[in-house]
Amino acid sequence: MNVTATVFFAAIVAVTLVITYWASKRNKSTSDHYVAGKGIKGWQNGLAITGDFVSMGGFLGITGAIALQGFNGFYLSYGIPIAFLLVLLVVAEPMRNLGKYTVGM
Amino acid sequence: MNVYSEVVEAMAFKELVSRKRAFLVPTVIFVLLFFLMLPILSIFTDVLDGKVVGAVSCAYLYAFAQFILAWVVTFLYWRKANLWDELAREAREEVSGGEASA
Repeated sequence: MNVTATVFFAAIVAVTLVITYWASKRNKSTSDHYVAGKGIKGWQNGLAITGDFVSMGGFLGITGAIALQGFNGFYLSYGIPIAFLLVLLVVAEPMRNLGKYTVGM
Repeated sequence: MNVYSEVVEAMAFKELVSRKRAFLVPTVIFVLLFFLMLPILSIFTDVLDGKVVGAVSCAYLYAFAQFILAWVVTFLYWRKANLWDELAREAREEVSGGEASA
């Protein structure tokens, strides 16, 4: 059993739980919980999504897949920009100018 | 007659919808074809086997072009959407009879 990995894993889980608990104390309504009270700007949301993809997909998933499978591993990633375009043009476009910015409302 | 029926009949709204479709439909079809050609070409033919630089084959360049395509199409869409905002505002004003609505 790898002690270093286990310690890091437990520490990250603990820090995440602490942050979640602290944030939940500040929520006053459903809107606060689901959409951060609508107080997040567009570029901040974009940065959050980028961080998710780069850390999970880019560094861990795709480099590992390419290392193991060669070019076949790249297929994991090349669908992502196309998926973004389809969501932009087909899902988000009709909701523009509606005054509502997320399907969660 | 509810508000939506009035809006759907307005000329400005119809023009907005037809302009949107004229851009969105060809773009979505092009994006899907560009995306699907890579697996089809690389599995069933060997058009993409040519070597470009060292270990980089044409297939890598084609896959990388998908990312460039995303940036280009987003930029084009952004410019078009600014035009559509104008048309949407006109349609809204036409339906509400010239008063500013939320």
